[in-house]
Amino acid sequence: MVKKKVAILGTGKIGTDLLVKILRSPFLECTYFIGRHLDSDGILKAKSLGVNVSDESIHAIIKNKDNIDLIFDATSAVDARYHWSIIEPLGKFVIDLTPAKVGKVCIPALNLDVVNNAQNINMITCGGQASIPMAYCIASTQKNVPYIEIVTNAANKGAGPATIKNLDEYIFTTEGAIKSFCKIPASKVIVNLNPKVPEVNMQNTIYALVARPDFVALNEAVFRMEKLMQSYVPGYSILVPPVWENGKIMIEVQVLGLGDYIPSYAGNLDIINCAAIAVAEKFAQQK
Amino acid sequence: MNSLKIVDSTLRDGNYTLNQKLKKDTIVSYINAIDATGIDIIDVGHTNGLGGSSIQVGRSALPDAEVLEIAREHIKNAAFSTLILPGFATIKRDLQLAIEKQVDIIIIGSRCTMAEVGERFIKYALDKGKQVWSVMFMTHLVNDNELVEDGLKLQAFGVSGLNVVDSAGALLPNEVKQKISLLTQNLNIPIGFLAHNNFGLAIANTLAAIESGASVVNGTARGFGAGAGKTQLEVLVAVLQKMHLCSHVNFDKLLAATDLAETLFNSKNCPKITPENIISSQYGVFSGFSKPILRLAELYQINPRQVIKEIGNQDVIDGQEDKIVQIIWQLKNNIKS
Repeated sequence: MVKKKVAILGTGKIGTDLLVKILRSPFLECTYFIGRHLDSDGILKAKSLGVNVSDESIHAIIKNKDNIDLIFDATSAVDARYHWSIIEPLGKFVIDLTPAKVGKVCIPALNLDVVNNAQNINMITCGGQASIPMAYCIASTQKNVPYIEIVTNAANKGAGPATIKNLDEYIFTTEGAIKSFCKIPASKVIVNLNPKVPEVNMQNTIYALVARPDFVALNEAVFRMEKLMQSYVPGYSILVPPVWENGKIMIEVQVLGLGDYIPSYAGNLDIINCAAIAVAEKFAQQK
Repeated sequence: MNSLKIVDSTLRDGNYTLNQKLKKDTIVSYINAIDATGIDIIDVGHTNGLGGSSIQVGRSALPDAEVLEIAREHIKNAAFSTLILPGFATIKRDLQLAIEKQVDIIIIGSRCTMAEVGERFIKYALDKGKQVWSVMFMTHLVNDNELVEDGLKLQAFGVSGLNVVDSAGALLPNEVKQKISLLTQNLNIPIGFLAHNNFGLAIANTLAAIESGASVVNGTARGFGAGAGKTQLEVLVAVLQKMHLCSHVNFDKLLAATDLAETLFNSKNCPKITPENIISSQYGVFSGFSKPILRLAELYQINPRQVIKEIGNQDVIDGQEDKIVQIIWQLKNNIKS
């Protein structure tokens, strides 16, 4: 089949790692890798891989719109909102990896079909991609779950400057997504950034208040979800299967990155990219 | 000499003793007693700061807003401080709340070598005209140069002072001296020190900090707090008064306040140094893990001392209480981390 033509806006860690993943995809090809400075590490990497690069930011999209089917926006929330105002009239499909929240949210394991009815898909947050599928397993198999809490542990160096600078946006975006996907009234997100060297792997703990747990249904759902997650995030695994203590359920998952451009401990950056690729491949296969 | 300031954090560290179930009556009666002693700063809140209420580190009995309101209403003489740990706390929900409720001093935490995480919080509070201090936890895990480097960054952000916490009670007096001296020599803001008593060194370490230039020290009534407890406030003040360093605190009133605390917090909760506390400090484990380790070790039928050692080997940091179950799970199932 003819590969869909992809442009990547943003040449930081996320954008460059996406590029490496796209080069492996049977459904996608990267026609433009776009930043602001031709001497950035990401641009140099892209050049070494033989990919077209540009330092003209959004103007590169306007100029080459006939040679682009979909756009990954891996810049910042502010820039992504501006980019969308230009891209929307062009009719191009956008996968937004920033917390700009202009599009429909998607977790491929839970609502990949949303891709059919949207022009802009938002990838929520890395912790959301990793933990909400498990939170959903709890909420969908247990009765009347009033509250779910997620703790993300990540290496300081793997968190990315955007997360560190904007913890509020990260936390509120993830809390909102937990509530809407799980249809529960209350949620809390805690972020633990660990300065330890060598760096710790990304892990997520999912807690829920459940008075009388149904473990048979929960375990079945959780292990099925682990397999589904592994179909697009190879490094995803359950570290501690559901355990119960005094009215609380707890599950722990780990995400080991593929180590494409970013080190494998930074599973948080890897998982959001794996999820974005799953969305792009769905788009590529349907239209 | 009255430049040495004494902080009472019974209503924050002691909240750990009560599993974060601090009630209105306790807050009101203890504040009334301690605020009459001449103590300089009273620290109130969830042990992990505003927004700490969680399954991870304990759900509060009272909402943060209510705790802050009660404390604000009753603290009349001392300065009122509260803790903010970015990651548990957010700017919009929690830091803004502390500002609205007119806390005098906002203490913004950061793990060592991670000053950047607190930067936005610090600048936000400073913009709103608040007095901001920084606090660095788990200081036994980093080398002294990193500590100074981070202290300089925090100073550049504009904080009024920097607290150093021996979160695992793992430091010896000479190590405290070295860290505090380096900070007082390289920074030009006041340095504070908070000890844990797992090695029985809370008073000795606090004196070492003062000798090295620390000008703010901390204690709690009876030493209430995580692990083997904090520095016992009434002992600290008695010792400091013998050294002619703390004449502004009325010792009789202080004893009345600390006696009241024992009644309010229940005398059977008075800290003692258990073998688990000692091992915890030997392995550099965060003191706040003491209760969940014992609880979970019993639930999973495993030796708590083995768990403490493994947590120490993995350099787990404060706030990562979820790692305790994971490590127990790995130990029970012979899984290598």
